[in-house]
Amino acid sequence: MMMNRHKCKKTARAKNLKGSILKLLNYLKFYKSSFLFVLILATASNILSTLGPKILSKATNILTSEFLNQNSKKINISLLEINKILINAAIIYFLSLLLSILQSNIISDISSKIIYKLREDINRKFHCLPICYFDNNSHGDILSRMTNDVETINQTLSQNFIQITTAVVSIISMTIIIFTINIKLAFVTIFIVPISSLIIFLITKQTQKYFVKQQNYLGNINSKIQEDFENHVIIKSYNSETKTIKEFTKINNELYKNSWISNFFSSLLIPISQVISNIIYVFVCIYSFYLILKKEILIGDFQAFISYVRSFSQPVNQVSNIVNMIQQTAAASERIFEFLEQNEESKDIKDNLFFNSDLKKYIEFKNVNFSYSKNKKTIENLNLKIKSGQKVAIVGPTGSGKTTIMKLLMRFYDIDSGEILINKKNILLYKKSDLRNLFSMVMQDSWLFNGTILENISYPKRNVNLQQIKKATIDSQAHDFINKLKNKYQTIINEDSENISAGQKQLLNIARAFVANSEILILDEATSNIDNYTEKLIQKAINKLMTNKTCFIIAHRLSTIENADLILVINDGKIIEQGNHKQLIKNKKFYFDLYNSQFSSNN
Amino acid sequence: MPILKKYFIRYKISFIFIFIFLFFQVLCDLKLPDCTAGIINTIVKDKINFNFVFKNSINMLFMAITSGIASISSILISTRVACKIVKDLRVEIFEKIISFNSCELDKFGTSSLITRCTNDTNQIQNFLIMSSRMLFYAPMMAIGGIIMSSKHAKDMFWIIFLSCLVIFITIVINLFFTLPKFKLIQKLSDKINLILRENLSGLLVVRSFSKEFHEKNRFDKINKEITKMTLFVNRIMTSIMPFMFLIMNITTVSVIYVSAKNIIEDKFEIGNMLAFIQYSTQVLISFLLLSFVISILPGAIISFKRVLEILETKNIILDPIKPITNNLENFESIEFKNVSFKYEKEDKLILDNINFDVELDKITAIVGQTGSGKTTIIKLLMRFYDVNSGEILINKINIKKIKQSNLREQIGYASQKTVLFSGKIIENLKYGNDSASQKEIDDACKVSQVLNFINNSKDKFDFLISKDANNLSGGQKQRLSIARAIIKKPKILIFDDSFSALDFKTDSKIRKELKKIKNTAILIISQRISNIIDADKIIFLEKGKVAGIGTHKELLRTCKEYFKMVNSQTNNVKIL
Repeated sequence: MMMNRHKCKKTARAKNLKGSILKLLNYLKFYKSSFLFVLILATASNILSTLGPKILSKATNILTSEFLNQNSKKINISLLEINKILINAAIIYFLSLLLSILQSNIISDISSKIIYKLREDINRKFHCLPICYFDNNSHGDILSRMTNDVETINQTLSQNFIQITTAVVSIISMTIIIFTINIKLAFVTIFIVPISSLIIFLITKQTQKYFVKQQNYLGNINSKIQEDFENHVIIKSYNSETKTIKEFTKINNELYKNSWISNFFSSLLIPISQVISNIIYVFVCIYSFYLILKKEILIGDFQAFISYVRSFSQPVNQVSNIVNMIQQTAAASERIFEFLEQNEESKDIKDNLFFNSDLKKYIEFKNVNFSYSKNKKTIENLNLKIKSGQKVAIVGPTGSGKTTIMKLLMRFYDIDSGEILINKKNILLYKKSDLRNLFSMVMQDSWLFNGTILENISYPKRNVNLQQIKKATIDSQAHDFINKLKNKYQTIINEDSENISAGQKQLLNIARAFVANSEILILDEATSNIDNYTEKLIQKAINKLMTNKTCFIIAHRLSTIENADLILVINDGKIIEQGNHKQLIKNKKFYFDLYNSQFSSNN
Repeated sequence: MPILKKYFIRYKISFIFIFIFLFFQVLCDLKLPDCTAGIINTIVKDKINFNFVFKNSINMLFMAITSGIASISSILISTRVACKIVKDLRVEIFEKIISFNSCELDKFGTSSLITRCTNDTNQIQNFLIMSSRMLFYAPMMAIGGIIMSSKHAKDMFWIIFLSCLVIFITIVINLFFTLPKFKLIQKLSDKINLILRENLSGLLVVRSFSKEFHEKNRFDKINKEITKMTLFVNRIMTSIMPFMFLIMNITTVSVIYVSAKNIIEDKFEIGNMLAFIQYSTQVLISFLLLSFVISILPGAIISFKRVLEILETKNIILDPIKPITNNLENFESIEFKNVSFKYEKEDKLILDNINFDVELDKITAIVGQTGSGKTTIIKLLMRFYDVNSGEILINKINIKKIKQSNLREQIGYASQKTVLFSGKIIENLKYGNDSASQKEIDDACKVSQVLNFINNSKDKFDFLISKDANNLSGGQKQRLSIARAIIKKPKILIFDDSFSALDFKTDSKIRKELKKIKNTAILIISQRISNIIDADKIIFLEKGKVAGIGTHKELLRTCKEYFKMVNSQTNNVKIL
């Protein structure tokens, strides 16, 4: 059980970019054969297009030789020959186009599948992470990993992945061809490659650092923006617009500094490789003239060679561009895999027990201890027995651990020591989903999603008919207000559910609990946002719903729990008093004080 | 796009420098093939002149290096300017959104505003970094290439023209198909964002109903859709480049075809042909660069439009031109006069002809059922919305005649949904009043019953509140937000259902302490009679109308609906 505590500690950020890329490559391995096919297509297409200048050079050679030895009879024959060569070249270019389009289509297909899978995995992971992960990490940052970082990888895979294959193939095939033209010239060209590689390597080292920083500041600024936009009303009502903007500007400036530097370094690669290519060009020209004079090469060969040297810089540029794409991708994939590798909620055991739905549920807490942080115990040595159908009220000052007990019971957190038993079996022995299905929760912070009212109410169960839903809304008193809406049950709850009031939201949440109709009901300050008038009606309905059900009622307002079978008074994670209302009033202790204080202002 | 123009002017010196450096780069890049052509022509003609070849070679080397330096300098300036523009733009958007009131905010929705301020600005930055150089370089290169190539062979110019035309048409067709899909993709990614946000906020609900599978499916549906769209767009986009290369290669083939005849007929020299091929390639490459910029343009334009939509939204609630300021120091009263209000998206009035007033040193309470318009009254009072008809007066002055900041200065507000910022407790408490003394803070914390909690916590006032205040309970958050409102020392204190998470003991203690605060009007909004039973004046709202005004005792006598509501609470509620 102690294991669970360690799970929630933030793992130190490993700056292992290589590892992240390897993990990403792992995603690609399902498409090995497709990649192989793409590789073949890309190679074929590239070899064809690199052959082009070589073929065209023959035409120039004929032209120059004709020109050099003026012989008018041969002119017509050689024109025919030239046309043949040109048609050949055109055909080869066309073939190359067809292959390359086929190849890029396959790659697009694969990359979209991979991104789909990545998103799916992230989403799956999301639902498997323990609650404490979400307590410890800012929601803005989690969101940024799931959207921005995935988008970065999407860009790389869909756009740059093709480039990497074609560029590498181009470099190889061009190298081979220039060697076939003239070995001496080829050596002059190739000599420059290691130099430029070294420069590229040095620059990318620099860039890496700033890209990670840039990505982190992006995360920071996203969190800031999210917090401020969501708390807009408070910012306005406290006139703290200037202060907020100042804070924002500070982060924004940091982001600016890092992003311009990282972008500068990464775009430096292209001009540098261009300068190198230009210098090669000049050397090649000078050396070629010498060779032409010595009649070692023909002018057509020189023309072909120049065009290769010129186009050499393009794949090299692409490769160097890819290097910095890889950096961005590595930074993004590191953040994604860090998320994907978080410890999940403890797994259900294999031979799990099943709940017998006919059997009444008997709940027991045995010496339960739990704490959110090391410093302070939230629940201390809790012992508790609850019979089926009992109405249990939990009262106590705020922060005393009332809600935590319920969260432990539903296994949102695992306890540090002790046992929680249902029908004498440890809850760890059941499937989590089975366990949680025993409960319906209505909490103080109501939650609705962007969808119709009907979808929101029928949320707990897949196959509910309209009649059951209507019954639930009538029972929860939500029916009246829903019918007054223009689109009734089809009314769409908008983003942040701002188009209905807080109380109406809660009514829908209660209606949802009616639909769920679980054996155990948890009401955590459920009616604190609902006016008394409606509350009275709801109480009647809930009373009906509660028959034959075990209920936990967490409430501050003691008037609402006087009739509970068992009242637990909790303070600092310990039960300090228990009994029914009459007994506790007689005790004249904590509960008595609490009870009287609510009337003090009435006197 | 006046905003772009504004930034262009702001950074005009940088742009001028980018232009100058690129101009030099283009000059050098264009001169290189010219030199080669000259050398080849001399070689072919057997007029070997070593001096000429050597001079030309040195020239070429010089130009290659100059071109490199010019290009690096232009990159240095252009990446800086691009990032700077986006930095400024981000601040501008942020300031604009902060200047919005609820009525403007409603139009966009929070999550859309967040993506516009983050994702969209990133898109714009990426576009600017790429385009700020290309947009200068490519046209200069194209024009220069055309001039230089026509110097070598005027009558082959039509080949370049034709190729450019084909490139242009391809790009237009491409945009026609992809542009609408880009918009759709943006919408879908907003949707993904929304689902994720909902899953974050509804974490416990989803888990408690074991609806993880359902949520996965909901996400999966959008994921499939966005994958389909992206695939379509990617297929087109990735086919464009190979097609462009084909055009370039076919151009070279055609140039050789046409020149072959001319060379044989001695109209043309071989060096000129080689130079022409190189210039035509340069022209086409610059056209390609332009087309590349154009191909990423749709995404950038959409992002830009989404950002512009924010910047161009006119603030509905404006400060008066000549605000009245002098009359607020001595607060006397607030008065609602025949106020009616309706939310833009709804059909019926949420507030219908409301009349009441709030006086100094008295506790005024507004009670009513859920949806009766209680919170709306507060939003109107703070001018997050403007009334549709009627007036809200503070010291007999219409609040529209006062500056918003001046109005809000008078108000200390603790909201229904408690909001604390990540950071130290002390920073949160001093949020409305930076110069508050420790004694004032202690006193306010005593009033709100939170001092004990703070002093018992490890770091006391330096206790770090986490993101979304996850490390505090609902009651602790509410008590801190009450203290924050008091520390501001406002003339009007508003508690908008902000006792809901408190137990009765704490609740009654706070209310007792609140009575001691002098020189302040207190406005409490609640659904619970017990919270406001001893208020000096109770305004009872029903369905957007004032159903009764008076003390608790008076209302019990005069207002039937109030009596019913009180009855429903005190008439011994059973369980719950």
